[in-house]
Amino acid sequence: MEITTLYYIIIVIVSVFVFYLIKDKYRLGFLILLSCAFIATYSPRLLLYVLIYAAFNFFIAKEISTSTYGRTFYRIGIFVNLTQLILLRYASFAIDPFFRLLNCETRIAVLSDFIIPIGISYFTLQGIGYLINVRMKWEKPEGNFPDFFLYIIFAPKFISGPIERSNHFLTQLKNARVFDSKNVSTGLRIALVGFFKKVVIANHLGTAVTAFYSNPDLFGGAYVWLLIILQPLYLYFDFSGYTDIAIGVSKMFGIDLLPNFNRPFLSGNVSTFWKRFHISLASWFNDYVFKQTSFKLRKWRQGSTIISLLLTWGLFGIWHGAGWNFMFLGLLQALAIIYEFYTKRARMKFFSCWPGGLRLHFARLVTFLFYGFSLTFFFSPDMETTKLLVSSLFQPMNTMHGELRAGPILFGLAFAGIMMAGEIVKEDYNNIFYKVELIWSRHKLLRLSVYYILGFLILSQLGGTSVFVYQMF
Amino acid sequence: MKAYLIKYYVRLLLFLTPFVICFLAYVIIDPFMVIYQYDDFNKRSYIGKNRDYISTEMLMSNSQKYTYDSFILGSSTALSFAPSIWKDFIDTDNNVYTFDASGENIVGIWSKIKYLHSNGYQLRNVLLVLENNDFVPFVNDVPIFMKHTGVYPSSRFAFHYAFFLSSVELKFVTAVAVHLVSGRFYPFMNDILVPGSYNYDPITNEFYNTGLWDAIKKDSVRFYVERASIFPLRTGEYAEDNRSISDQHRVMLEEIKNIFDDQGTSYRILISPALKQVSFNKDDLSILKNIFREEYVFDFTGINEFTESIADYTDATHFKRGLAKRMLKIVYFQPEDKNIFIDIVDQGPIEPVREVL
Repeated sequence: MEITTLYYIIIVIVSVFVFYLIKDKYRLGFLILLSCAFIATYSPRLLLYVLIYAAFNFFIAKEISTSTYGRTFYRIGIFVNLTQLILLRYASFAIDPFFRLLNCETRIAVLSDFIIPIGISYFTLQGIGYLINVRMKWEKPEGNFPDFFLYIIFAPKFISGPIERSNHFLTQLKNARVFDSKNVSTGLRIALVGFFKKVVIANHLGTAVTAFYSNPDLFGGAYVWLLIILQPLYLYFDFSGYTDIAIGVSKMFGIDLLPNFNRPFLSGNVSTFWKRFHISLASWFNDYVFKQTSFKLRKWRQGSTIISLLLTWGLFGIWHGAGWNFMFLGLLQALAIIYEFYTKRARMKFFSCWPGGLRLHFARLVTFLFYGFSLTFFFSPDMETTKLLVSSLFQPMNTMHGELRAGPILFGLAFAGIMMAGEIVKEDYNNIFYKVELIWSRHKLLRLSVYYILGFLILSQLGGTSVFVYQMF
Repeated sequence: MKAYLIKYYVRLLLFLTPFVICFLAYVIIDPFMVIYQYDDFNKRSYIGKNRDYISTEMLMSNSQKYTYDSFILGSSTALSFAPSIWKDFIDTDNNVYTFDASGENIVGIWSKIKYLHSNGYQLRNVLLVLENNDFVPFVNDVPIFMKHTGVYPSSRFAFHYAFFLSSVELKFVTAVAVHLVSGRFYPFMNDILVPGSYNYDPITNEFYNTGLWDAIKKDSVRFYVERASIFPLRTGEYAEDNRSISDQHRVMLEEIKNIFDDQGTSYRILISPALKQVSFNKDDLSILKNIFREEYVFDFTGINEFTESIADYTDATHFKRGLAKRMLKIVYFQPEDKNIFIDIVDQGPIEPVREVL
């Protein structure tokens, strides 16, 4: 089921009504039913698969906690989780090439035709995180299977996260869900902004990015620089739009999801950027890969940090997909963080004579451009395309360009600019933000007008199909 | 608590009222003419409509008044094979009908022929005007190309949902409003509204592209110079389309052939030419010839006299009736004594235009 459709909006509004109309004891069951129906619209086989997956993790966690062979069960659990992810997501990259080398006809990748791996990267990390939590005794194993099943399949976050932590999500399910109009209204508002980001901004910026990567050899020079600016904005508004919808809809059902973005393009360096962009994924890798690895390799001192960083970000890249370009995407982030770590003093010394504001904005710009550049690895279908684009960057006067429709780009950029200006005010100009917030809270007519403008703009751009970028993971 | 809930939802519904009004406006105005029955679909010609829907609706309502036994099927390129011209090449005393659709797909042609067959229409003569695009993967979600739900089994709700969203699209609403107020077409309306006058015959669905014909007649050189950018550059080297007939397409084509055999249909398969001079894939062609027999399949694509002159075309793929008639002469081995004349209304001068371009 497509999320940016009127169907979805109507189903959510009606479901929230039914959710609070029925007795509290049936509400979680209702959410499970809704989530199952949502997944079944993609593939009933996927639903059955997720049910088996959830049951496996539920029972293995119990064994980890109670059995004398807890360590073995833990290893089996992690192995099975990773294996199913590799088989369904990375077979074409990690397994089938070996079969080809052996002149074997077998193709494991066909498994993903049978079980469409939608959402698999997200629920697998949730499953692994849960097993680690139980093993490390950071959390008791969940005793109620329906609650655990809902943790895995909860519809708003199923296809693109945020990657929930079991100890954050499951504890909320133990509380009674009472209708709170403020909660529902806040959820509606967040979701409205999410729809706006996706439908009005990202979809328009996406036309340019898609045009570039469909015919990369038609574009050159300054147009590639334009791409470097457009693609982070496109990805941010697309993904944060989805996240806002997920958080908003969940809030309407009385469940708070973890935040995923915190004004990332106002970060002054790459290390901070990854604390503000795709937070749930970056923090997952930080907690479960980086910290664990650097702890185990602590004898190597600084070497452990470097190795852990390279490993964490390499895996982070691969999480995005089967391909060398994703691996480079991750490693590039690791190199930037290592560079920032080792040059911190020198940079501080060099920039200390710069005025504070200029230094801050320059740092933000460099971070933004770095991320924009690294996204060529993300969007490129292969390394050849990446090479082509990178070489074009050094020929800015090249006027070769394919057909780009300026209308949608300007339309998207105009609203992206407004949203970014809002973020800058919130981040840098607290006084102004406070005043705006005061005016906002006092003037109902202003609020209504803005909601209607957003609503009509969304409605007027809902036509056609629109898929979220992070939906493919 | 439930009283609070209901009160909250009443307030929410009140908030949503303007959006409901948008929907009511769509239902009342019916800008794309896909809700109510119309005698004349030529109204509001500035709005691009769904040709599949209109052709089907017209046929459904006309078939109670007129008898049809001969059909031309295909996309907009099929419109050049006008019923008034084709009728001279075939043997019928009944009405001929152009059962076209914008961006037609073989799935659409297959479902139309099945519909005609199962609804008791006699298929005495059929002209299938194909092109490579007919065999691209079928997608039924673009409003202007969506299939009539009565012919191709699909969701009626999805059909109207797509049209509702098109009707509230910002650029569409703006373009229509500006056009209605000013009565003019501005450059920003390109790809949104349809400038120029044209109409369809209410009985045969024959297309009269009068605005375009008048423009050519008035100043053909200017017509081509102004549109120079839409005509493709040709390399003069042989090029061929990729193979696109799938196994699923083959099954559909065989079903079409079976229906023709059942009905004893006199049919011709014509692969329409295009200025780009890219040949129809030879493997695909042999599939068509195997199914429909070689003598009934005519390929006019590639580098030949039908794709040579820009003056035979009004854009990269749409050709004039004169060229269509020349093709029909070949397709039907037109005997001399039938005294076919080539209507030169839309021909325009040829040589000067080529020199200018």
